[in-house]
Amino acid sequence: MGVLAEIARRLRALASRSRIESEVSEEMRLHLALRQEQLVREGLAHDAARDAAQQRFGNALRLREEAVDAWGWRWLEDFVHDLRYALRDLVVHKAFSAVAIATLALGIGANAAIFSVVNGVVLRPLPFPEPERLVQMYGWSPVFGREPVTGLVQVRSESQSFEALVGYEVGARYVRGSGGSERVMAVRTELEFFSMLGVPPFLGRTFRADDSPMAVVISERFWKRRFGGDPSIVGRAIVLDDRPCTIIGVMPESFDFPYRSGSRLSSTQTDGRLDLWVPLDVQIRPRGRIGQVTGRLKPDVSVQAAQNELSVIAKRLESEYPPAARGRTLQIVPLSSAIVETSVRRPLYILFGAVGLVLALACANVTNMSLVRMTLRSRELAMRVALGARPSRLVRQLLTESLLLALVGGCAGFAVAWWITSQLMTVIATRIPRGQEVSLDGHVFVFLLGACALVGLAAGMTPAIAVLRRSKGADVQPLLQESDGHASMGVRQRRIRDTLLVAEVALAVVLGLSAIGLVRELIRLRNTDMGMVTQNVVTFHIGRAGLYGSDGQEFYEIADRVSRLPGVRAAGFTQLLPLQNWGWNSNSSDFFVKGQAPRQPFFPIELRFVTPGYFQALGIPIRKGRGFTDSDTRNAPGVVLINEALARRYFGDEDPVGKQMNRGTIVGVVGDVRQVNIDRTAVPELYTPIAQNWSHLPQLGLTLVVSARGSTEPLIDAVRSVVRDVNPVLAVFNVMSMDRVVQSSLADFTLYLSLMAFFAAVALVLAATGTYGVISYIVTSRAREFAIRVALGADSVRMTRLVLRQGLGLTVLGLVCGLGAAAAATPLLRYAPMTIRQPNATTIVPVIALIVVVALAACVVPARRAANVDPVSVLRQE
Amino acid sequence: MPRDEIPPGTLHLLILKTLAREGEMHGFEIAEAIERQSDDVLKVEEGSLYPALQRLLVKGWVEAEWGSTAGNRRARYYRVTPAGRKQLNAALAQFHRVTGAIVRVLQTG
Repeated sequence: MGVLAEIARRLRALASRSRIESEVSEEMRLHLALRQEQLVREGLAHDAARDAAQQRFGNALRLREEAVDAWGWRWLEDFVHDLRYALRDLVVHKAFSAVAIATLALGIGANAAIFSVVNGVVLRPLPFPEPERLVQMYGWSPVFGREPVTGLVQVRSESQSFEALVGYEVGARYVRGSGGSERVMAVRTELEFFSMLGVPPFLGRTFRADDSPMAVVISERFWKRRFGGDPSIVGRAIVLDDRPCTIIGVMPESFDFPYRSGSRLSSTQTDGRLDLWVPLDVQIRPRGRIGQVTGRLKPDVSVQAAQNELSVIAKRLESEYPPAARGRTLQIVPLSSAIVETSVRRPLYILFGAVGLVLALACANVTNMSLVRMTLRSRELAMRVALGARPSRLVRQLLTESLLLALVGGCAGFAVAWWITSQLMTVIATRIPRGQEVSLDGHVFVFLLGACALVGLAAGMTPAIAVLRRSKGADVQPLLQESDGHASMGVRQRRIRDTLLVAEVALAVVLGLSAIGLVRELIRLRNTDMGMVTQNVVTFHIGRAGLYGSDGQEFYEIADRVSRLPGVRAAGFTQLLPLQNWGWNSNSSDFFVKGQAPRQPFFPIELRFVTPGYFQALGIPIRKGRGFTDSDTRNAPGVVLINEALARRYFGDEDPVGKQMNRGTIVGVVGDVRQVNIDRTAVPELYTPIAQNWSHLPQLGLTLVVSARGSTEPLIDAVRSVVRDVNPVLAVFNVMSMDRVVQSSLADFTLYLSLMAFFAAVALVLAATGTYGVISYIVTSRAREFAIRVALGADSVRMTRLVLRQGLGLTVLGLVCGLGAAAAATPLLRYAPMTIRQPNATTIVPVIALIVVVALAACVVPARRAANVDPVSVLRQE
Repeated sequence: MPRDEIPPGTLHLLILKTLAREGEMHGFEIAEAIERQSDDVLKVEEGSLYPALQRLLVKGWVEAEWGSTAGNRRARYYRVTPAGRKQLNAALAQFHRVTGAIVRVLQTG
């Protein structure tokens, strides 16, 4: 309270500085008068008494200043003064200011942008009440790794740790409308879903324990898209999968749980967002499986404690499973880390690190520029020291200047951040979980301010320390005496300057190597043999309600009619298009030769359901035996195809064709296809004809693959009308060329690549301007020496070489350091979101060449200036 | 007679002590009182009293009011506040501890 009162007193006094001044003056006058009178009484003459009184009093002027300063505005006045001076300086030195501000704006802005992503995705708590109590439950088995949860019912009845435990599945639903069907992303969930999460609806209400399976909660986005934001939506009917349902509520735009599940099926019209939530229409059976489970722990129950209890329950459940499922356990992880997995976190941190390097570069650059400028100003500074300015005052002024610079740069940086973030948002909103929550919020702003302060201090400190060092002791004199107006740097400053430049080049090398490593990787990936032909291939997603259990005959008809369209080479269906089955799987380990025991150890086999034309449409070669034909019908003997990976793994050198398996006779072996992503070699795959697996037809629909002789563009409408003709209820969506599919499977990669390339480009520009600044400073400060050299007969070639040697010497040193740093950082590559090979000659050489060329370019201008120096005019200036 | 300078930091203490003993005083009277009580041993650069008084005002340890002197001249009278008294006691206690210790060290042996 004492402090507050003191501040209040100071603030009041702030408003009345002149009053305090006059009051103190009056007191002092009285004091002097009284003293004088006293001395006169003691016998001194009037004038002598006045002098004596003044002598005893001391320097009245200084004391009055001191008295007023007691109220503490000294710093404020100084600050305003410094600020005004700094502003004027900023305006006068336009070139310096512009370069410094642009540099800082890029550095700070890029940092704030990446921070906004890290903040929105990783740091900000989940937008649910008490998010730390929310956990995600996974099943885990030695064969499949993570899998759906088995035994939820038992866990719920036996466990004491959970307040709620809710199972749900993400899947597709079809909404009937006037223009045909639309596929929407739906969550089928147990009724406690919303109350467990604790998020209120935007309109209406969420599920209650007594809700019928016909209740629907829709997303705000779907509400706007489908119903035009009709405010009287609650209570309206909606036909989902041919069943009339009732809309009971609308969830706000920000709600998209489970995150990213919309984009699991990377092909909906929904931007990867969820459209609606419906009650799970079947009871989970005691030993049944459920895709996803989220729970809320009771207060004061730790994740570890709950996990321990869960392990005990899972252990007991395991004994009841068939042998193929032995080793199954249940795991829980905090919901936040389940949503933003390490695979998302790490690349973000790497990016953050990279952008941090960019900021460090910007900082080094500005420091160097300030250092150079301070040297040019050293006469002014020395003058001020000579006139009695305290060194701390000068330091404060220099810091004010650099802080102002950083702040202005930060403001511009905010614009940069806004731009970068808005660019990033278009990509990450659907690709990174919680991506849509990224925004420039208060935290980002604080981060930005913090970055400004840090940069300002860092960039101001070095020159300030240099001033302190110089102003100590006697070397003010020589400074003042330097005749050319440009004092040169001290050895120490030169060393700092050169070190910073070397560091800049080194950082540019590291970022450049990363970027070019990514480019090389991208080229390699694009040239990878994917085991299929993607040119002139177009894909369609086709589905409808009630597919599950239909015989799939309509798909055979569509494939058949489409393949006979003019210009079409082949057409066929699959349930999972290669490179598009992100997060979606359909696998089994249940595969053995009839009459033999299943071969151990079990391993997962990906299941594919296709129509005969599929292999030809994607150019997948039949290596052995035959492909499927139209005569492999529902009633014909069961047949399967396996890929080479499965053939190798299960049969080794044995010929698999003709083997009688539990799933049918192997009639052929097809080529391996990169199914999961371009960089993952093929996993074991088993193909069966859709006709013989009609009971597996997924609600999600199937993908039609059409390969054309020429352009696919004209075929699209023809295919649509064939589909409409076969069954008008079928929804056709997400028409995409196979090349696009490949491309978007690389979207994450491309995103990181373009960011990295952007950072590297910025780093290169910074290193170039840094080099330019230093070299041109050297040329300026050595003008006299150069003039003398020229006067003594050095020709321009010689002069140019002199300057270039200096610049390139530093560059080469930077290159060496950069390569060393890159080599030291190579182990970090493991954490990159994609495989990146270590730098080798083909990556290193271009980077080095580029940097040398840029450095040369940066040196050439000042070098030419040195070469063309006119000795007469320079020397006359002296 | 040579006079010694006031050790730094003790001027506040002297002012507070003087005001606490004498009640209300203006600047000249404070200076006189300090010099008189120290038998003129302590030399105050008299003017430095005024910055010190301002600092005490800022701290809230004294308060001031304008009044008239015996000679009917306008003067500012200072008075110790309760906070000032507390501060004085604390400072005195510390002062005695420190000087006591110094004296003991000096007298040993």
